[in-house]
Amino acid sequence: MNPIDTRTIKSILDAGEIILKSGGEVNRVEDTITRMCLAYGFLRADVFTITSSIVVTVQTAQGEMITQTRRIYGYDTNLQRVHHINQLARQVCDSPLPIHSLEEEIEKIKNTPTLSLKKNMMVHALIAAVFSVFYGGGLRECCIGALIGVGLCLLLHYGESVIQNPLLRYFFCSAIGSLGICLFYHGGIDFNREAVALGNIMLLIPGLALTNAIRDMMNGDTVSGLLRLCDSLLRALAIAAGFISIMTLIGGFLS
Amino acid sequence: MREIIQILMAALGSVGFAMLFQLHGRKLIIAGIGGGISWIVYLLVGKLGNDMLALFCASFVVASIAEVGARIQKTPVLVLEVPMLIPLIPGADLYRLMFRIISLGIRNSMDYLVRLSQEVLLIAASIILVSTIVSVIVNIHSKIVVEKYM
Repeated sequence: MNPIDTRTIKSILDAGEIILKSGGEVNRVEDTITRMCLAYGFLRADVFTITSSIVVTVQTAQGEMITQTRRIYGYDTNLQRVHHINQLARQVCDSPLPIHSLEEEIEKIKNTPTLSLKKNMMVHALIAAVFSVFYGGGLRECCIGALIGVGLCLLLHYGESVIQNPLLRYFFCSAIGSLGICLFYHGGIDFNREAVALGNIMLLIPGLALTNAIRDMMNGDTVSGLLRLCDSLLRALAIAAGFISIMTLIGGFLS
Repeated sequence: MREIIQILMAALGSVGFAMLFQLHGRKLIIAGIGGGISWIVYLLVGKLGNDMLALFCASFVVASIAEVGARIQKTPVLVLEVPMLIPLIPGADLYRLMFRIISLGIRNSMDYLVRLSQEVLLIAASIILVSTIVSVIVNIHSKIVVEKYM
């Protein structure tokens, strides 16, 4: 087996993995991998992707068959990476890069800096504040929403290493978020609690994943769509359970 | 007045999520404009009295803007589409459904379930409709170009 071929497929799989992890559709992953494989002179490429795994089998110019599998753990929407990989794939399809520079490029994309914790907190505060107003709040709701948004950001950031199970993590995050709202309310501030709650839930709720799941299913990737659908429904259930458990314990706000 | 604030917030929300998804530069501005336009369309069509029609039209417009913007910016459509769709995404309805299922049981939340499924299906359908229309246009266009130079 030619070691160069193996390395090439490994790099192409890396590119596919980045797209899938960063929130790209299954369709796009399969398409990108197939195109890149053909660009590198493989005679045939069969790719099968679901949300948690990629399998690719190629036929080399010498007629050998090579198969590689990649298990995907954890997702983190990062559209900038999808953009970079897409550009890299276009470049490769025009004129294949030598293997070592392909590896370098992919490594560079993997290591593009993400938002620092401070900026992340600001973005969370912005989103929570904006959607608190969007769902019918005023200036007061905006401020309280932003404060709770910052808290949620810290919880999500530090909770990742403490609670391994994502469902439980979301349960606790939303429980503490709703605890914050209850505390503000019992602290004597009167505000539109539903608006603040909905504004902060936008940070947690997988509405986008749900829509993408249906889209995957309509695009013909029924299995991936079903996986994503179940995932997002369970997550939404965990979030609602977190909110409701604190509300029944402490009381004080209705939906 | 209330509507203007909501439109502004929709635009800002789209920008916020675009930042959360690590975009920067001109794509943030495009995402903001798309998010704002989506809510304008939603409110305008909503005046006719049909929420679902409004949702369909708004996501149709968003998907079209994203297709055009993606071609100008040379980026996958999804990169612009995802943040622009944020104001239309039924996150609040998903939460209300789960809230109702937990507090009142699934039998009493059927109307919420139906509503949520309709919304999600409509958004997905309009996005797919747009991408299909675009690919048909691209196909026809490339065929005409090829025939010209043959």
